[in-house]
Amino acid sequence: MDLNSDQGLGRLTDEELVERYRSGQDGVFEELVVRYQETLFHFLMRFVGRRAVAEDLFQEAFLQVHLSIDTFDTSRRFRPWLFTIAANKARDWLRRNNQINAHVLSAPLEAGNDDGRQVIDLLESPVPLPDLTAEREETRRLVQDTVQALPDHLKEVLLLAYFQRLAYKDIAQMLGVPLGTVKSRLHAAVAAFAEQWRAAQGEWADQL
Amino acid sequence: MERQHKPKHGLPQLSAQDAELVDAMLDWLSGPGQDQAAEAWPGGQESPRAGRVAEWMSLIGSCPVEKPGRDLLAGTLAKVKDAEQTERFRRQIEYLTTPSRRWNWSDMGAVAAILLVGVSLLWPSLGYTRSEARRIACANNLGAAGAAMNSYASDHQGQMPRSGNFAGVPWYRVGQNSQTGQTAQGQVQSNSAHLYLIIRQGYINPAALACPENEQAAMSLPQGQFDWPNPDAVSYSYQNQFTARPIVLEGVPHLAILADKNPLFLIRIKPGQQGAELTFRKDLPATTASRFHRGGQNILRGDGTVLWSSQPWLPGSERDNIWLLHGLDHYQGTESPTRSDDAHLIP
Repeated sequence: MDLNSDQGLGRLTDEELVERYRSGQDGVFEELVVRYQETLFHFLMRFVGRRAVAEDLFQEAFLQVHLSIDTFDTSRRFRPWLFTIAANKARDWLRRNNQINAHVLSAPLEAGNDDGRQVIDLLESPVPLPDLTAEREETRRLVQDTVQALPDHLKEVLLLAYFQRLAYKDIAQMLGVPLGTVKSRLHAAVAAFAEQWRAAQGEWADQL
Repeated sequence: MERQHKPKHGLPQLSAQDAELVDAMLDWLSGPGQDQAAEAWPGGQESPRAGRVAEWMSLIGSCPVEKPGRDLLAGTLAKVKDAEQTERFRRQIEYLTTPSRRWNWSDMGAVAAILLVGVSLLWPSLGYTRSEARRIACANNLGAAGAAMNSYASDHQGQMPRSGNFAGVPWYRVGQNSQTGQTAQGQVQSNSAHLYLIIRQGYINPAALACPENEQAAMSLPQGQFDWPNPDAVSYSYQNQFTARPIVLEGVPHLAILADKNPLFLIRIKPGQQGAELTFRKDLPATTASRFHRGGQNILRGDGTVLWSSQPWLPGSERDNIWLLHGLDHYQGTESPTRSDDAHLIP
């Protein structure tokens, strides 16, 4: 097998590609970008909600990868490192452009606090869907709006854990927070989604 | 979205049982279920509550997203390439400003080139496109080379840079004897080795003979070399010096003597440094432009002026094609001009 051919590169792990890139082999960086083109773009697109911004952040993330490639420890996994860079870029952009979702960010998340927080029981909450005669596209757009409206720190964990399927411990390391905080944010994201969704359905039903 | 609803008591929380099930589902998705759809989570079948959790997560998972644009890959690679270019110039600046170095006037051309291209990269508002800036920087390189050749000629009986014994030797074996400069028989093996004399003898530095558009150009080379290490490292094609007599620079003021690389000859180094192979691109039109800049090439004349030409001959000349010898349409790599006004820039 020619590991220098395009097919050969495709069989290498991300970490092996990084080693080859460091040694100056051509075509390796492109393989990395291609490999993550969809998944990283989807993450950024869902996080910031704007196509042009997501594309810029995607390019900046890979530029940062290129500039910092010598600092990457190939005994660790490349994917969480890449997403850490991308998430940092996205958060910076949100902060600079005052796009932080206004919500109750300071509300404590740990379960058990007697703070009057509403508890969402999903078993008691059938998944209400728009009228069956409505276009499927309407449902998807509504889901997109609801996810987009989540507070950024919850949305980020939801995107990483659910859409990107990164393990909780990887996310904890990426964000520099305890494992328990990752879980709490994830649970709160699901609860907030369910609450927003039901409320939106109720308002929509009122409008019909 | 106009349907936002503010929670009554801050952020809601998930019930403990639901939280546990969500964790179990995500644990599966990040592990054994990594390559499977979320709907395939086996735990969703175990209880009505688990089924309901799966329904909600499936709804969240239906969040659509657009595909990346077709230009995203190319744009990303271009951005990284620009960064590499900027780094090359930074190293070049560092090299030129090494405190122990003595400046010579030929460094000025290189500095001018660096400033021009650096400005174009850092301050787009100046209006230069990057390709224009690189073309201008390349022209500056040729200007510096012309001045270097003039200095060389002053020190060497007016002759253009030319090295050693080479009758009948191929002119395309770039880098084949970069350490010694000669074959075992004492013959120079490439036309680029003649040009390399002005680097070797300190009239110019390698960076000034590196076209900004040539990604393989060598910005610095070890001292004592006789040639560039390989054909791709060479940015400029030089007047064929494999003539019966040395060319006097003063005698060819209107001759093209150096230009962007000749596109009609490809040189391939055989594996294991077992020599080189020359291919004459008969399939290309004789008027093909150099591949480094779009639509033309910079050309240095014997009198030191640098001109841009969209055709491979000097403006106002009698259409003397600088890539080819008069009347020749077949090449083995040992040909040389028989007329003093026949430009033939190689490799």
